[in-house]
Amino acid sequence: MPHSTARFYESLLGRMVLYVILPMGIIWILVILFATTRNFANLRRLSEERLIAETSLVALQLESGNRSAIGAAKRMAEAQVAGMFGQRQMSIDFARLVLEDKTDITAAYFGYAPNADKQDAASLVKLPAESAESIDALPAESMDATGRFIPYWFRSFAKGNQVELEPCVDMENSLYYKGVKETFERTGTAEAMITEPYVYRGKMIVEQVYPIVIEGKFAGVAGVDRALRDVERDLRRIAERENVDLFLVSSGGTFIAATSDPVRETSEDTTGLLKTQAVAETVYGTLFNKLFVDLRQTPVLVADDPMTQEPSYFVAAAISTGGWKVVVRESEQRVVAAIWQELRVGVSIAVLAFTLIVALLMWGTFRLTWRIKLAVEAADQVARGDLTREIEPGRCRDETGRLLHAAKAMMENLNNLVGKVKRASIQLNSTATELAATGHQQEATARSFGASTNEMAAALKENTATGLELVQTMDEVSEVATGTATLATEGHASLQDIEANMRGLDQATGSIAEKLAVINEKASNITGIVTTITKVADQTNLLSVNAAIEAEKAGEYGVGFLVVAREIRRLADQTASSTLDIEQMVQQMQSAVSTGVMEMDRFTDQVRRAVDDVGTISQQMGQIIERVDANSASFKLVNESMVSQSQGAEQISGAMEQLTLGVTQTRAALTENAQAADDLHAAIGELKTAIASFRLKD
Amino acid sequence: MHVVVWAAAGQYYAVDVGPIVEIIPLVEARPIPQTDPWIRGLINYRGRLIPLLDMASLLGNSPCPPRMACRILVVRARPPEETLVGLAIEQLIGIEPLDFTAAAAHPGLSAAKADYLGPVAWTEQTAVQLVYPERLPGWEEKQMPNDERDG
Repeated sequence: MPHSTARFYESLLGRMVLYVILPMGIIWILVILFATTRNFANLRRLSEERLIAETSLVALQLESGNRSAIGAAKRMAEAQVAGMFGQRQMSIDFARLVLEDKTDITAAYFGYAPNADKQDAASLVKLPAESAESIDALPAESMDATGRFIPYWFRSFAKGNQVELEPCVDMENSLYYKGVKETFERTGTAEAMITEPYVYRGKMIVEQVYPIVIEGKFAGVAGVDRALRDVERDLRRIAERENVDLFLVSSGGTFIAATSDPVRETSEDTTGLLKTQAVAETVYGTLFNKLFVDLRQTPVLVADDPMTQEPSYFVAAAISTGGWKVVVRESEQRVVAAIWQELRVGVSIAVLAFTLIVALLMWGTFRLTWRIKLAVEAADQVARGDLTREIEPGRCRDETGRLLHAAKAMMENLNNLVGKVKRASIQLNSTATELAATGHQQEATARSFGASTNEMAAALKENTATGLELVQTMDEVSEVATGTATLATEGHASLQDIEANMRGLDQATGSIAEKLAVINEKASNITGIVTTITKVADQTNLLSVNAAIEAEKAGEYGVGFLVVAREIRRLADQTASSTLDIEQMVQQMQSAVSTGVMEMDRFTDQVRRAVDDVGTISQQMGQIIERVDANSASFKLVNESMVSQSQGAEQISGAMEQLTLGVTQTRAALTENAQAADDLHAAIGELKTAIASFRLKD
Repeated sequence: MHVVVWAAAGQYYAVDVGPIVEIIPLVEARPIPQTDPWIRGLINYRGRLIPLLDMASLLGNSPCPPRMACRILVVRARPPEETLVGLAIEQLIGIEPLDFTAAAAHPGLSAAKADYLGPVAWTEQTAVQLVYPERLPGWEEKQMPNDERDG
């Protein structure tokens, strides 16, 4: 039994959602997730590669800067070796040229070993202190107190980047001099050196130094200085362009520059900055240690920045010239955000497509199930016995539309059928009522009926037999009504049996009427006989009177005869009164019989009408059988109605049985006839109740 | 005296049993036109035609109804002559011995313009009046010439 309020997951729509849309959605989402995850991983990898490329590029740039500076120093040394050694003025001019020419250096200088060109003493003499226009005079700033040739050209920030000359400070002990010298004396090859950053004359510089080797002997150094400020400026430019942070570490493990340091006016003030601090002593120590383990792989680390705690990418590269290392730091969140930017479009499109598809599916399913729902509701209503529903099947031609059409046709046919059955039952009811009335009247009459009722009993026996057949047929009808389309066919056949049997009933009641007419005739005969008897009594009366008269006239001889005459008279009187009674009875019987005949005629007419109606019903049953055969799937409900109908027919048959039983006997038969009519009433009442549960639209 | 009591026009009358020959059922009469309304005509009594007088018409308003109970008293009008006349009555009561000279009886009223009505006897809560059939009017036969009758 279908419920009218099924749970969602039991409905067609719900099942579509559960078994089609939901799995599809899950699969789609999984695919999207998988694709997105792979894309994300790929893009992340690409970002890392990009970072590595950038770092390499930065390293290259710095390397080239270093190379360039070293190259300049080397060129200066080679120039000395090539013949400039000892040409102090030329060297001074050359050094100035170099400084003016290269804008990325902040100083250029030579630093002879003490008296390496054996001109120390002579140069002292040529000091221009006495004669300013002496072209042989060497500037005093190019020598120290002992005449050692240590000219230092530098850009003076205070004086607007003008180049100035002054002697190198603390030459002998300085790292750049000592280091280069010792390296040469140890290895025998001239090797350049880049110093750690330090403050020279108030400027943070890095020195690029090359030894001057004259005839295999260390003769001095040539060098250029680069201001850390410049290096830092270049770094910041790169960092700003690429939106990363750069850390430059010297070969000694000291920060040369860090773009994360705040910019300061006086760049020599390094308090609180990473600049010039040993890496190992800063918070970056552990991290950079890990990074610098194997620089050939260009390692990439993802870690929390020790200073900002921000998760970031750290890429390190080596700058071979000078042994520097550069670390590029990019915020992971930026990278991830960039990746998400890429992926966002694709994911949005996928989600949009998914939503569209789901919506389309739902709409399509809903359209489909809506019609089925309509049909289900209509079938539910029919099952409840409510035939009032109007179905609008629309113009849809697919299976659901046809289902609605079929449901509509079925409703209409059911309406017709039940309506006809209702009307037939009403007519049968009135017939039963009149039959009961007839039975009651006949019961009263039969109470004083005599010998002629034998023939009536025979007639009623025939009626009973017919009624039994009718009962049997009604049993078959009730049986059939509980089955399926086959039962409807049997019911159709049984209806025809009913029709035939009702015709038999018609004939039987006709024969009853005949018998009643015979009774009437016999009553007339009786009346005639009674009339004769009356006449005889009358004559006897007269005779007795005449006899009495004669007896009177005879006087004493006639006394005995008078008595006889009197007796005769009495007899005649009795006879006359008896015949009066008989006449009365016969008249009553005749009137009752004529009423009975009238009733029988009316009964016959009604039976005939009922036969016609049954015929019509049978015809339409035939039509319905065809349709039920076509719609067998939906007929269970109709069959159940036929069951209750057959039960009613069964009871009708039972009542008919009682009806026939009553007719066969005399007074008991007529009583039972009346009884049977009462039972029929009751049975028809039940039929009406069964049909009443149907509500028709009219 | 023994009388035959009968009813006509709703009242009881009697005729002496002596003159009565027979009582027969009511039969149709052959009417004689231009006679008194109580003269029904002639009837056939055992082969001879005798006049039929309707006592209900004579003693009341309407003639005897055509019922089986109605009878015809065939009386000898003038004994011992054989002049018979039939009297149609509504109902024959019976033969009774009535005393018309008893203290309860009444001799009749002289104002009655019918001399065929005699005294009235009282019996069983009813009054029965004697009727003299020989004095009944209107039934005299025509006198036929003697030679024609005997011929």
